[in-house]
Amino acid sequence: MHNILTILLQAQTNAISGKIEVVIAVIAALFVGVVAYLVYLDKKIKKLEDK
Amino acid sequence: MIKWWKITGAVLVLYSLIWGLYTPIPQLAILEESIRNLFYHVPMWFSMIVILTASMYHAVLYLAKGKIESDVKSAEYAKTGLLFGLMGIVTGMLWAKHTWGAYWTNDPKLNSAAIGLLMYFAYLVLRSSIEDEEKRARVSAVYNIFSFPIYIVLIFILPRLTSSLHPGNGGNPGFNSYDLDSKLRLVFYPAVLGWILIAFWVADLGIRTTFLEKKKEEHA
Repeated sequence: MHNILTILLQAQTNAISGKIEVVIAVIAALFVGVVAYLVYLDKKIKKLEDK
Repeated sequence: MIKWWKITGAVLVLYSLIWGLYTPIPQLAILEESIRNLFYHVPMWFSMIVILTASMYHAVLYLAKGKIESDVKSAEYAKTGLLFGLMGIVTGMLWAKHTWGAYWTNDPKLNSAAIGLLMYFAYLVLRSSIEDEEKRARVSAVYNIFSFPIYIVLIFILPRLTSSLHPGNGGNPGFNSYDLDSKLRLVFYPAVLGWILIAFWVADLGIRTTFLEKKKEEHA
């Protein structure tokens, strides 16, 4: 019963529309920014370690 | 050069952020689009468990070999674990509000997670209360080794023995049973691995900074 229900529900796949791409791009940009900062810190610490 | 595993972690998380919002999902009542939180909320807890395992491993290593480096690693991993646990709690509360109707319920899974985090806060308090470096390392290593298995019992075993709202507990199915076409898995597993690697990256920065601090103290 449960399986049939799930399959039926899944059949109506959801096509996302309505500028969700913009949100995805914004989130991706934020994360890239955070990672860039991690890279910056990592390199800074490396420089101190090499001293 | 940035280590390859750090880059891998960043790429995997980036992939999960993008594809996690875009991938088709099973249409389920109550959960609806919020099922996508599976890609963001759940990896926090996976990362926390893995990083706390690393913390305990280094606590054992400290007791076995007595190197202070192991103590530094153990403490920094515990701190990172706490960070990810807190992010797990906050994201979980938001999700709970919109699916269960309240930010917090007296659910065994939730209360256990909170108690577990408090145990690790107590670990940090314990550490800061002991001046002597070796004594601090020894006492906190023992505490760490005891609290980890208790945490595991609290969040993975106890909630399964009682009834719980949380998926994967007390008769409630985990998300695996919703996941017929494996589309969720295709985002979920990379997200988990990615966040684990990011957690190790964050901890690595903390560890290296502490080593630098120690080196400076020695020279001073």
